[in-house]
Amino acid sequence: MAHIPDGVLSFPVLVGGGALAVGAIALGLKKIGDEDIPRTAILSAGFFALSLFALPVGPSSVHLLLGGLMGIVLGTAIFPAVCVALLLQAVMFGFGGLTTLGVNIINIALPGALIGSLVAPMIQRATPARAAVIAGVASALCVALTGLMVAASLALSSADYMLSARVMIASYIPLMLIEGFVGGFCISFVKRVKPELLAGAA
Amino acid sequence: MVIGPQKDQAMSLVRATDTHEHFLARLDPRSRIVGAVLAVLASVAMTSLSGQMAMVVAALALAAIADVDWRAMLHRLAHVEGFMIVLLILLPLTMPGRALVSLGPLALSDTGLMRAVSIVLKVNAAVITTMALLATLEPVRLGRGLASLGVPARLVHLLLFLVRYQSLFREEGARLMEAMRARGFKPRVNLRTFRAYGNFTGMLLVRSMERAERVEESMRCRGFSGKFPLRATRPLGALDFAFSLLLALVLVGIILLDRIA
Repeated sequence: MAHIPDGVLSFPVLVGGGALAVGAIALGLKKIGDEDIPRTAILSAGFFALSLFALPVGPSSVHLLLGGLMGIVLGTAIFPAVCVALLLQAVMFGFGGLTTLGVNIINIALPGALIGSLVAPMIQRATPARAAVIAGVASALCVALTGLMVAASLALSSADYMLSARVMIASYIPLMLIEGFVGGFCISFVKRVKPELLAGAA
Repeated sequence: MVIGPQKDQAMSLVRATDTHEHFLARLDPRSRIVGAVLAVLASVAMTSLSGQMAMVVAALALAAIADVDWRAMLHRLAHVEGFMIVLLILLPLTMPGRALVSLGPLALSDTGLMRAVSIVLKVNAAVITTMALLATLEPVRLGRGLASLGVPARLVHLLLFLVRYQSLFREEGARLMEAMRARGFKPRVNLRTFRAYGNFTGMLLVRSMERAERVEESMRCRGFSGKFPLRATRPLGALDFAFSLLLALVLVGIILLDRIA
């Protein structure tokens, strides 16, 4: 639901999103040292694979957005990571688009980068139980922000999209709850099994 | 460290995958990337119904030339439309205009319906073009093409690693899922389900981290200092110029049609 295709948004929104994304990716790439490339890249591949799983929940299924978890683990490297992931998805599967790449990157990665870098130090110091609560709230918040930003991208493009944008926001609420719980349990697991994963937020 | 071409059945769209006889395969990846971006930009910029329809026709022609698997393409188009459903249902119902059909408080407006049709045409033209020109391009060649177009090497390395490792982690994830089911896991809507998914997510991340550490060490052993040589590109050939010229002519023609009509 966060992948806006080509042909929906207006040019000012596309250009704005593109410009923001270029700046954010440059910032993220700067933070990755040359020798950290394999680590960041392979972790990104892990997140990418995770996002492709349709997790059955009751009669339906969800794809996780993973903005919060990526922000916590990757820090600002989330921007280049989401960039290559969305590019590959647009090219290979036809999800999202080429002209909307910038907007989609910002919508998914910006909440993760902001909230992730805020909570990552707290999670490092916390006990697994407390870390789970922090990560859960952070994950849910990221989904909510992404939903709001997707809706804003539509609403800013055309006044005609207003109602659709509201419906879009409502559709994010179940994912927000699910991702909150899954993100929390995930960090609690990682904290017990391999806390080093949380140590190196770039 | 070899980042080889990753053969992934689920990902390949072309029947005659990049066979060297096919002329698209002999094009430089740069021509295909730039061509795809320009064609998608043109599809998005269309303002008239005739222009939008012409772009869809041009995109279909490209797809025919690229010899895409039509069933796979239909499947993907249906998926893309899934995102659009909200927009397509609400626009005709909520935009002001002359009512075509009214059912109690609901009315289908003509302007809203036109708007929905134009979005469907634009989205499909863009997706079909992308598939024809880029989905058929091997990801490794896509990466090299991007690098020679000036995309930062670090970003290209990220892309190449992603291509190399994503299918591996997908298989690993599928195995974890299977193991969960074998232990009697049944997805419901409760805390137990979410905990299982949290552990699944965490486990896959831990595995990717461990894999990352091993790869990093072995790359250090081989003297990796942060850069791979991205193979030098050949100069563009006559075929590239012919393709670019033809595509440019078609696009300019359609844009003129769009502006005049």
